[in-house]
Amino acid sequence: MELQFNFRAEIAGIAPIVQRVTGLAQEMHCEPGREMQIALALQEALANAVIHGCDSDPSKTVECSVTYGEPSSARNPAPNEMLIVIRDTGSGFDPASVPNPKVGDNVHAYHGRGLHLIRELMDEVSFAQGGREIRMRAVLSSLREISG
Amino acid sequence: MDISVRKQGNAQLMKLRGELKLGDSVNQFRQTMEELIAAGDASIVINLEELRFMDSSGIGALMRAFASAKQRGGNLKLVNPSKLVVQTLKLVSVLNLFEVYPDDASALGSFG
Repeated sequence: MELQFNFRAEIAGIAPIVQRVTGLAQEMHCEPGREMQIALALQEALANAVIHGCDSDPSKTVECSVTYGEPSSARNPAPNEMLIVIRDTGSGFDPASVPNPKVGDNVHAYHGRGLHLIRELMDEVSFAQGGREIRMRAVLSSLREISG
Repeated sequence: MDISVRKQGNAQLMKLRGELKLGDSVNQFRQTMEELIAAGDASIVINLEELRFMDSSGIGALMRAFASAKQRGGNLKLVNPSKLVVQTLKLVSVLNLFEVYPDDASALGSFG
């Protein structure tokens, strides 16, 4: 099954999607607390698409699809997983070029932590289309370990 | 998000309720902190027990406020953050930058 969200690149468009997907994770009987980890990763990925991908230009569109349950093909997630794909229309970026926020003076920075949070909170993260598309897989039955 | 602030002895006690995230809540938090620090109130306790969610934008605003308070000779101390907020701050290695207290009284008392 799949949910599809297309929204104008505005910050106000993020919350309803995060709320819907958080509710879906709960409906799928995720491990308690896992829905909030997914919510945070999704919040960060959608914010990146709106702000960096689309320069907060509401004439541009962000696409978000959530595939879940009952896999009908090899590309679908397992029944206890969720696959979230977010696509923007920007110029893309090199994920490898994003500095580690946990190193040196970056710890004190006022921004630059979103991608790191996504990687820590989701079970698998990959990029396509030159950074314009992020694919995030979340297993619902177990919380991500937080080592700090 | 709801923000309340009141003077307690030598420090300002701020309580955050709801979600500190990109958009209005972070803007409101940033403005409140700027006003406090500009008024010379750089000793600040933030009670986080009813803050259920903080994103990277919220962390950035918290770090900015922390730096501003320190620059003015003060400090910014945290009280009883929720489990998710603790996890979020740990994930980006900033939790250990803050003094964290179990209740308002001990945090306020630490300012002397």
